[in-house]
Amino acid sequence: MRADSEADFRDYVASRTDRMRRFAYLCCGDWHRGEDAVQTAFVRLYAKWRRIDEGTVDAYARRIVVNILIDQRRRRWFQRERTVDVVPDTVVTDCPGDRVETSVVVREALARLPGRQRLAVILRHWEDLSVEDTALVMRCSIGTVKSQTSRGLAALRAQLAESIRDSEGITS
Amino acid sequence: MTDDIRGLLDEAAAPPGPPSTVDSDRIVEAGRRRVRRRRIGVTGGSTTVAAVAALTAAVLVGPGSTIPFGAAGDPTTTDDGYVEIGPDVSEAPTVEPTSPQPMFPYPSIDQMPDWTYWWDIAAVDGPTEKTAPYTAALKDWAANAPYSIPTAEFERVERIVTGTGPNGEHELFGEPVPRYEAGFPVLTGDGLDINVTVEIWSAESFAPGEGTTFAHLYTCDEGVGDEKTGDEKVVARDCWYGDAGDESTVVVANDILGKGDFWTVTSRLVLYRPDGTAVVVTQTYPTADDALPDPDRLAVPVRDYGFLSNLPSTVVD
Repeated sequence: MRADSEADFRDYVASRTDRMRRFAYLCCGDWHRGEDAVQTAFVRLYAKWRRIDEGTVDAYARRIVVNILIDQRRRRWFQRERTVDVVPDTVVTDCPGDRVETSVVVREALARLPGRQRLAVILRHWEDLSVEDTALVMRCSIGTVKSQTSRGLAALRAQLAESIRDSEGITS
Repeated sequence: MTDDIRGLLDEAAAPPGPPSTVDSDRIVEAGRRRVRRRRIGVTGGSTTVAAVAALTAAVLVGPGSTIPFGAAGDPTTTDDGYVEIGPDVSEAPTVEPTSPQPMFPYPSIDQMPDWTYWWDIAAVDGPTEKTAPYTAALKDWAANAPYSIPTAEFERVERIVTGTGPNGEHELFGEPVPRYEAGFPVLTGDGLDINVTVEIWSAESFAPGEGTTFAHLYTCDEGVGDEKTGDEKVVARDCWYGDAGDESTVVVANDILGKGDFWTVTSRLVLYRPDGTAVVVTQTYPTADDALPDPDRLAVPVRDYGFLSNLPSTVVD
């Protein structure tokens, strides 16, 4: 890769790392898996950098991240569970209480969505992609994006409402 | 609602996470190594292979028991004209290997938009000692089938993922993986001429559901049946899971591809077996009807799986 092209690539990595990490985290619910996926995605992106249009590089990068996460999940299907002697430590955050609770509830609700619905909701309502661009990342039709987004939002809404009811029941 | 959802998602994805370890120097270095490996790989594998489209047609027709699948639902039309059939899919079941099978890692591919990818034939070994039990099962099934099925034999075939670029670039991905394959036509007697292929995939050679030509193995969740394929597109899709017993699980997908008055119906059944291998049966038939095919009719052949349940489970290598 030529020096100027490589400099562009480095700029891209620097500017997009945080957003891609958060995107991957929303998709899989695990910072470490997400980070690995992003790192791997950038390596693969490097190999294709000269052949990718500037306008589609984000969509391409997101698609690589999604492919990697799907691939990881598929591989886990055929791997035996490993048992450990010691329960891992719980992650402690420094967020204020309400914020932690809300984010945990949303993450749990997201995790319960089928993968395609989760991806459609994230791409449409967090990444703010158009239906067409979402279809490009998800490799599906526009109609599927619409239906998956609609079902995902409905399921998310129902789960969040249920969580709120549960918490009100506990506090009352 | 949109702003609410965005805010909630933003909060869910907000730091603190662990500090980022993404390092552009390491990425660039790893990227360079990857490019070097690719160049070596392409040069080393240039003795290729006839261009045989790997989107094999196939199916499952025959007597025997029926998988307790969920019924296909009524078709619904979305506001942009797509037709969707079937119930919501459930979560994919988990399968763990119960006996050792040799593993053949599937290559990781980031498909370029203008490239075409398929499972190309790297070698055909023909019938072997290990394919013979599969052929015997096929013959038993054909003898009792209510349809006319010619004699067909399973062959050992090695396939490798191949990509072709818009300017004639050619690239091979990973190593060839072995499969046992049989293909044959089925004439149902009511004018339905069905192409059928049955493939036994070696363990861990599974496609993660990328692109139409890799559509043989997937979950409903990762389905690829909505892909546009040339000037055709999938206009309807139905996918669901079934329990085939013996810890095997099944994914069934029916896709209707077409444009104008000509439609092709492709039904696939993927049987994930406990030993890590998978059986993929695909059926394809055209229909010249000016209306979409009856969803019940297109779903029926893949539900009749007496043949599948009697397939042996020998080592695929």
